[in-house]
Amino acid sequence: MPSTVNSGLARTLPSRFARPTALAFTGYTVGLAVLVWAVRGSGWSVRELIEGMPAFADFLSRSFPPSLDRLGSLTRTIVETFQMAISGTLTGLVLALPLSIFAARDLTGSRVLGSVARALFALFRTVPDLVWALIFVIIVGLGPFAGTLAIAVDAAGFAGRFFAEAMEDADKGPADALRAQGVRRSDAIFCAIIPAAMPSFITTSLFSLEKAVRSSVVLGLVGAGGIGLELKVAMDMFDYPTAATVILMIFVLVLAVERAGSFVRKRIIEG
Amino acid sequence: MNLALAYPLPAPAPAPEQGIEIAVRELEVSYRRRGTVFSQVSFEIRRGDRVSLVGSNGAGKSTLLKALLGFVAPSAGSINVLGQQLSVSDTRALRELRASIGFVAQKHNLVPRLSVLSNVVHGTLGGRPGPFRWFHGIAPDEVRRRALAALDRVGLAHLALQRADSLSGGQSQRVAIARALVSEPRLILADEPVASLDPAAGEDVMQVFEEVVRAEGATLIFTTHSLDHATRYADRVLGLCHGTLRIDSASHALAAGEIRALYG
Repeated sequence: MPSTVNSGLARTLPSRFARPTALAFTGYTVGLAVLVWAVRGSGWSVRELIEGMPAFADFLSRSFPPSLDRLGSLTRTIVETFQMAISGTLTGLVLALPLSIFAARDLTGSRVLGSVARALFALFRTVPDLVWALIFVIIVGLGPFAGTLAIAVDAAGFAGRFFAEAMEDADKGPADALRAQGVRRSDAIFCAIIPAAMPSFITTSLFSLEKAVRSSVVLGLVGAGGIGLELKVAMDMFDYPTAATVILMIFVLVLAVERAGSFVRKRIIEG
Repeated sequence: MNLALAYPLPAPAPAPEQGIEIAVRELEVSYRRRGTVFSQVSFEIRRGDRVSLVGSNGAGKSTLLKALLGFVAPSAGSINVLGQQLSVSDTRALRELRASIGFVAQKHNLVPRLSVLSNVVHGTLGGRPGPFRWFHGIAPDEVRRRALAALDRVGLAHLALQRADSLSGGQSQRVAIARALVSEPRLILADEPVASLDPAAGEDVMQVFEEVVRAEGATLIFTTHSLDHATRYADRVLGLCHGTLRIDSASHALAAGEIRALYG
């Protein structure tokens, strides 16, 4: 019997791309139509962008050099922004962890609690953080606490979903082995599932912090504390040198948190 | 109306005699899609017996172990384990029963990011649940001592603080054995405990298994595809084939051809 087969199929190369089905072709066409509709509806204009360049150049020329007159008070505000981000994220993570255990499918066995937890996460995520800030300003008044609470809710929604998915994806073997020895479901979750999902938990937590730092900057615009208010006031007063200082401070803070987050993530993933 | 007459209940299975750890009577397990896995399976296992369970893939060896642990509901028949009639609906009683059983799976199933000692401490959670046994760092000294002693029995006490994912396959399976033994179970079930190991590591693990189980005086049931292991490390061989129990014999009285016939 020959060891190779020559069927003749090798003579013609197969086409590089599969011919789309009628349904796929319709899908592509509808997708393209939606894109054109969205671009036209959102007022996209390259002309306006080019015509606005002199104004941008004027803004840049009037912003430099950045003003250092209020460096002390601005530093205190950016520190407050960072404090809001840290405490808000931590509060959100503490809220997210127990809820995510219920939200993860097939983990606790309670469908009702699972549905409630997933609905809460959906609510936390779908309402923008700026809207949460407005709500908390009504509840606790102006100031950083309202912003901290808004960040907490946003972080809980963001982290909770990823926590639940990480636990769903974790290897169930160790938990099953423990259950076979009479270990309670809750103990098996804390002993086997959560440690397996821990790298993902930490990565998600660090992303939450980075996201919170960026959010905390804009929350000041609605009076929920942080440096955003300083930026708004400086812009409204055409005090562009001070605005430039605020923008640079935000840039340094966000960059520092992202770099620190990347470093910690790398260390954790490498074990 | 006399309901007892209209709907006669099945007669309760007679209690097994003294010294019988497992009594399986007329057992049948069926799955909706797969159909009947096995039926009319009956056997008794006495305290201290070492029993190998053999049969080809799909013969129902793992299903039988799962049934003994109450993870699979019988379609017919009864199972009595450690003097307790199994009922899959009584989850609390099942959990208490499983706490008296050591289980070793084909894959070691250790928690990779935790220390070896923490993994063994987890073996005590069945008897005493709660957060103080989630990690060895917060476990009581008495539990840590027992876990370390269990590790010592499988020759790995010196690796107690290493992460579980740094161990070789053979070492990991030994830790899984230590985890199964730490609660001093009367009965140990092992589902192809050396299937994922190379022959040398598999031999090493089986020897450790045999020594430790013999020293503890526990009853052992293990599934295997190795005819050598089935006869050398067990006093008795049970063989499943085409949904029935074809072999139930003392291992010394069994010819290799009889076991091979199960795979034909």
